[in-house]
Amino acid sequence: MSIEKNGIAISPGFSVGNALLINQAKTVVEKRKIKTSEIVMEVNRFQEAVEESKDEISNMKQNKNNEYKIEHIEILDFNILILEDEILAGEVIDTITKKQINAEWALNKVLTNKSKEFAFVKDLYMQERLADFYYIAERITKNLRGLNKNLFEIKSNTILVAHDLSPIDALKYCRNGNVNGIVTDLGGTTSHTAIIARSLGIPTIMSLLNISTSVEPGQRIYVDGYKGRVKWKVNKSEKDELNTLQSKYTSFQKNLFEFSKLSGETKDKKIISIKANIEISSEVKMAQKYGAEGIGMYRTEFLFTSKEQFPSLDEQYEDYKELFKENLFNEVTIRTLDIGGDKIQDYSHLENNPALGLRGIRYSLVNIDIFKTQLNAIFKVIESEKKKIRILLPMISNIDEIDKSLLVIDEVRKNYSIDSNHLSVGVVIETPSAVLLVEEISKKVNFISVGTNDLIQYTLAADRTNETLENIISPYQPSVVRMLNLISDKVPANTYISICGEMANDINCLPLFIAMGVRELSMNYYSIPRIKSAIHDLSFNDCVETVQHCLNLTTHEEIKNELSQLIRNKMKGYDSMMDYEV
Amino acid sequence: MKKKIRISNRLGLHARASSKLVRLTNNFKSDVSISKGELAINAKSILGILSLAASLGVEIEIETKGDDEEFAMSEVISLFDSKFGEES
Repeated sequence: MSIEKNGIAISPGFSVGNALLINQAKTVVEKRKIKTSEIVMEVNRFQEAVEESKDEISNMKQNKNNEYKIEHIEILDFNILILEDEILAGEVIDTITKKQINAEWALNKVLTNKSKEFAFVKDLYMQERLADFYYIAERITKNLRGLNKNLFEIKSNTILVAHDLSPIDALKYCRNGNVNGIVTDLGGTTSHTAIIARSLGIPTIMSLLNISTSVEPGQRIYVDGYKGRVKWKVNKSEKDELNTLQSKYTSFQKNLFEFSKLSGETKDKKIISIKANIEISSEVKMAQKYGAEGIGMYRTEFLFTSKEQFPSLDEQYEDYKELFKENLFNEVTIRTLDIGGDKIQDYSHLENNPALGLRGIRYSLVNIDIFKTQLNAIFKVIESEKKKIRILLPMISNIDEIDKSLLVIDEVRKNYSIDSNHLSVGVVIETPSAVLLVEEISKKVNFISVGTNDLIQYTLAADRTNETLENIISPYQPSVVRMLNLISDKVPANTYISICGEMANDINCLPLFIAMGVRELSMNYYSIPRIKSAIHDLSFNDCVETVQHCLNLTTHEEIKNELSQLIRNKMKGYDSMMDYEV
Repeated sequence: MKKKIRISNRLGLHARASSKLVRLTNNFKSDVSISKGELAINAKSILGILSLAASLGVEIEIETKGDDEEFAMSEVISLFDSKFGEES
């Protein structure tokens, strides 16, 4: 009988590989089977690591430079006692021997069991001592590594199986290209690790509950990153089935890649530029591979929040320069920091409602130095690389903010010699207020980009992270469709309109944008071939007709039906495509 | 030999007291165990003692077994009697 688990599809693709189990308390621990002949060596390795750890702590105690208080000495002594503990060592050695498992994992397992035993102890002081167990485990683990550094080499065709995976570890493991897939117990779509997995194009599934305790090391695992499904222990017939699915997927991919080479052109030759949204600069490679014609939005939040401090001018310069690496793109769009009070380390100004708080351009205009540093880095790249950058200002709700921002941009720009056609400035239209002012806004900037995720949230006054509001937060809501229509009605002729946000990669929403006459769609790179293929099956006239009809409808179900009907009728190979709907 | 006592120090067998006890018991040739109700643990193990979670007023039974069991018992008892130096 095969085993199957379903989680959240994080990064698309289909892959097969051998499980590498890693666990993450504070340090990462891997699980590895050992041969009978290796048991003695493994036990020795453990004992040596324990001795080494004991020596380290004793040295700390004796180091004259450290003026330890008596309490600290007692804690160090307590740690030494744990290291000397016969029960602990005995159980670890027992686990290594009986389960034929590596020392790191055995230690981790014993300590996890111990901590469960202590969980019922109500004494707070005693509870705190639990932390010492982990501290000791980490020290021993570190020393185990030191004794055998080769343990952590990643073999080819590896599927990482983890309880949780930090972004740093994800990068570390996936660097050599041997990781085919990632499956974890925890995590969700917006986690940094998810972002990295997508950027590296590694099929990934998260929120699989207890996958890390269900899978054996080395087990062959099938990862379907489209459906969010993991399978293992498959029998012969299922294996054949999965292999068929895999080859179907491969040919589907091949078809998609054919589409990725196309331009976004409708049947009646209307051209829409299809670009990629990215979250880390190294994603440009995947974006180009999937057929992006540019970067429609580089979100800079990950760059700003992945370290303890905001990046310096030089760090930002190096990062933005990456976008032009290998000359993949001639023009990229950098959205200035769109950060809210909820994302900033300094919690001294906790806001009741960060989505409506000091975020986006509001934050940049208050923290003018941070804004200027980012602009400096952008101009420095334009100057040195002689490439085009579009600056995108987020969360604009009034004209004043645009005027102030443009003044700052002009002021900083004076320090650089930049070709005038190498810089353009645009505004994200994501508040109903900006929609109402879109005519005036469009006259002040070079382009507008409709941020659909936030526009939906602010139009419907419904928090998009609140799962109970799922029915309200729909791109097919009549008010959302009318908002979009209002934008295309109000903007001066020839205004360059781009669409970003989830709506841009929703096939059903395509007719809306084609009818609006948008010039650009910017989306997750992996949606690009699919959207390009859909555009090729649609015509401007069909879309206008359908959208006109939609504007008279009053419920989101009706609108969704209307739009999806058009797609179903017009799109070739719609059914096979839906098998792999992301 | 076995002997029952009641924990008399305020903090019970917390980390510091346990450390002292373990350091003492490891000097003896005899096995030393402590039981609380059904639960019996090796008193030479810090983890064992901590898992006992013996607090003030709890009755425990000490057992020493081996060549120096009498000496071991009297030393252990006097450590408990001294309230692990806590109150001094």
